[in-house]
Amino acid sequence: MRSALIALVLAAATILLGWWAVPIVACVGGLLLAPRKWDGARAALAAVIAWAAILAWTAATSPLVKLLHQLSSLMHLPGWALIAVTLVFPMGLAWSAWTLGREVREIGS
Amino acid sequence: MIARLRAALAVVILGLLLWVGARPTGPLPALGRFLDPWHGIWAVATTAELPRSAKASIPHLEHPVRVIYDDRSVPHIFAQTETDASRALGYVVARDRLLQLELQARAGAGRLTEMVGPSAIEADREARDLGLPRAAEHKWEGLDSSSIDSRLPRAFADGVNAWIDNLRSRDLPLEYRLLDRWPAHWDPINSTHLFNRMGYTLAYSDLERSRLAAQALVGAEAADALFPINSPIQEPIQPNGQHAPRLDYHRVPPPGAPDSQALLIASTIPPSDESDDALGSNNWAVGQKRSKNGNALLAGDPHLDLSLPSIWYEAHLVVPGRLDVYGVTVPGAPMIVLGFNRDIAWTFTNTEADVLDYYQETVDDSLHPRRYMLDGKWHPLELRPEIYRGRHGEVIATDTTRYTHRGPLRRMAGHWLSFRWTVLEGIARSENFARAARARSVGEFEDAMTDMETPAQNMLVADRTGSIAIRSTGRFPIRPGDGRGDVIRPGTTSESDWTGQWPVAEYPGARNPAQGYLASDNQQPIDPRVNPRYLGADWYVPWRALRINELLRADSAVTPDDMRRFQTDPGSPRADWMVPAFLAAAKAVSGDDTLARAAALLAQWDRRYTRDNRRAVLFEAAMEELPALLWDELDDPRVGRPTITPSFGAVIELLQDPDNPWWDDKRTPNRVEHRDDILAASLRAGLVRLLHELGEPENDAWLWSHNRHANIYHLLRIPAFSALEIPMQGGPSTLNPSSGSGVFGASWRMVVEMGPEVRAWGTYPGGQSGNPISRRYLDRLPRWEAGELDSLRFPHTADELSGRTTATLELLPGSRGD
Repeated sequence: MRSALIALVLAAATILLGWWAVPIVACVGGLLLAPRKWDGARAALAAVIAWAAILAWTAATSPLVKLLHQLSSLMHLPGWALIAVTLVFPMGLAWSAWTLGREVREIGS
Repeated sequence: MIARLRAALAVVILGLLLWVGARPTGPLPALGRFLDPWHGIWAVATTAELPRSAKASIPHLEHPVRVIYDDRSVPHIFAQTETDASRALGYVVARDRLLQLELQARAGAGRLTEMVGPSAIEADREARDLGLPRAAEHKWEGLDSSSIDSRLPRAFADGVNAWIDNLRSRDLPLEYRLLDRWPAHWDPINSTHLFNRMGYTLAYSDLERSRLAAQALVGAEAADALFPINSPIQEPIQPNGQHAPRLDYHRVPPPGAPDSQALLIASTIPPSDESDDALGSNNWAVGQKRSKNGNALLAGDPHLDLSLPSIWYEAHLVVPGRLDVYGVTVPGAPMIVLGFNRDIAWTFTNTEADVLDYYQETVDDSLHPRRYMLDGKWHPLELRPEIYRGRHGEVIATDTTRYTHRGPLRRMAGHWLSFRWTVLEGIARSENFARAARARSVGEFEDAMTDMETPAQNMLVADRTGSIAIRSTGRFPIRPGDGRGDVIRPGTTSESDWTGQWPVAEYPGARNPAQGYLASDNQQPIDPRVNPRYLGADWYVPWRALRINELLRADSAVTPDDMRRFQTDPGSPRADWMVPAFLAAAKAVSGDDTLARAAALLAQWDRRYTRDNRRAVLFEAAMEELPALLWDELDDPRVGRPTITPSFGAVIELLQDPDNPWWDDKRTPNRVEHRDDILAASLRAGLVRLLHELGEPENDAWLWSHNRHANIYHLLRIPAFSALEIPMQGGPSTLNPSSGSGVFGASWRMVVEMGPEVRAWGTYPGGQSGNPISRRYLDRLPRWEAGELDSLRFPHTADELSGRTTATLELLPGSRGD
């Protein structure tokens, strides 16, 4: 449940503030929320879900697949690789920022 | 320990991701902004299509403007003043074609490096060395700010900047994301940069260079014949009373002694990038008596660079009681350039007149001159520092351009040449097009265009009373002495300078001629027997004019659909002229089996460039072999083949003279060749090459559709956004020319019937949107490729579009940032 909420917050923050919101929200989450097992990984997964959900909504309402084909041809990369890079990027940001936030919290406490 | 390691790893990963997320790395844009699923590259998909309805505000807008997009995505702009219509036009063009606007303006301003980096510096240098940005500044400064010439570009800029100012990150066009840039503000002078750039495309020629290069090798007399001032086939734009083309035969003098001084000077003139006659245009009109419905008909198809998005943008501007004009504009122009209103329709072809002359100057310093000699005195040069900046404002190069009273001064191969060019002179005109859009008759249109300065065009117009007319526009210089403009004159005397310009009354033109039709296809516009004054040289052989005139003469009840069909007609007078010559030569020469086979195959050709034709390719192969065999006297010793190609008019004249020494191949000293030997050898060589490259003649590889294509490149030449290898009906010098690289062609096709209710049809390759993801990016291509036209919607009121509306836009007066 907490992961789903975090994903929701990350999606909303991305829409409102842009990609910078991911490390900020994750870092704040790591700082403020009580530590749990695998919470860095959970934050990473939430970020992936958040960005994937935005992409899914975009694909449902616009020619995202066509864009994917064009970009794939332009960059000489398979389409799945472009999607993978798009999802790995927030995953790395969220995990590292959450982990950092949690470490800071632990040092402080 | 593990926790510390994990924390360290997190710091490293976070730092790395923030770094690549926030900063461009090599050719990659900043990844964070780029990959962001809401604001980044993926958002391009969400803005591919126009929203069903939208509202926006434009500073200085005087009254609300309503814009309705029809089912062809054409904006119909209903405004209350002309300047508001231009503001709205700026807004809708920016909405669909923002990248194109900026690229075209920067190309004219010599500032592409600021957008795409140092790779564009040569293009920028060329624009600045040609004096284009300086000319734009002078033209703009010469305007009265209250004139329509000034008000329309400023209003257009209001519209463009309103779009840019309110641009959300999600609206940013895809290419800007790849370039990692935000669009620059639109300055009203950009409209002048655009027109200057059009002038460069249409009115820059290296006639002097080609002629001089020939003179260097074979002397002045022969060079004059190779680049004749008058076309040997006379089929002028201004009817001359003939009912058939006239062949004016002049014997081509034999090659003379080389002229080494000419070679030195020729090498100083930069070649133009005009590569073949696909960069031309057609227009024709028929009067009441020759049209089936008794209404004047007009057709036009400018042949220009094919690009995606197209050079044209279609729009309809309405100001009740004042303006009701439909047509195409070039993004950046504040008015309709080609089109029609309720009373007239008009279109242009390029005049191909010589409006640029070179002068060999004497300067005070061979490397860094500050003065030039004129009439025995030193005169100061105007020095203009040129600073080239990169994408982040950094200086990447500096330079100085120099100007005499004639124009830019350029140094190459140790010589200093200045040039005078009409494109660099005058003021920035918008009024001509504004008045043309309001004209009610052929006469009013001609009046509106009387003082249009550049580029020189053949304007064709038809009106609702059934009148048709054609006349050249632009300024045509008068030179001293023999009046020729195809030679380099001494710069040390003011007696070399232009002495005036043609009076408009002398311009080539005609109204309602007895023949009942008018046509222009970039050929020599006036028969030299009617007016021998020099207007240009090395004219296109009038192949396309011969064909359209043949079609029009044969049809006394022309319909709009005939006009459409003519635009992609596959017939070829060039082939009609040359095929019999090849076949006769093959018969006359005792050749081998290969020659006999080549002749038999060529004889099977119906001389039409249809997609399924398997013999056109052989004719073209023979025509490609011919110059190397014929023009051996012009071989450049450095490359072992001719690097200049004389006018095809010279070939036409040599065909009448089978024993002319030009036919002899100097590379075979023990033999004297004649016309038929060279023609037969060309045909044979053509077949040998095709058999090697394409296999047997019945192979599909011989299909015309496999050999010549239209290639429509994206503005940044991104293949994924381009439409390449489109098979076309048409060949070199047919009405729908398809030659060489395939990057030129019919950029817009239009047919208008001037009946009680105007009816019009048109299309261009591409679509209204500049977004490669949009379905409006390429939606017109299939019909363009098939030679079909769309019916253009020309409603009197917005209500007439009901049922065909795809989007609406409400523009309201507002201040910046609203």
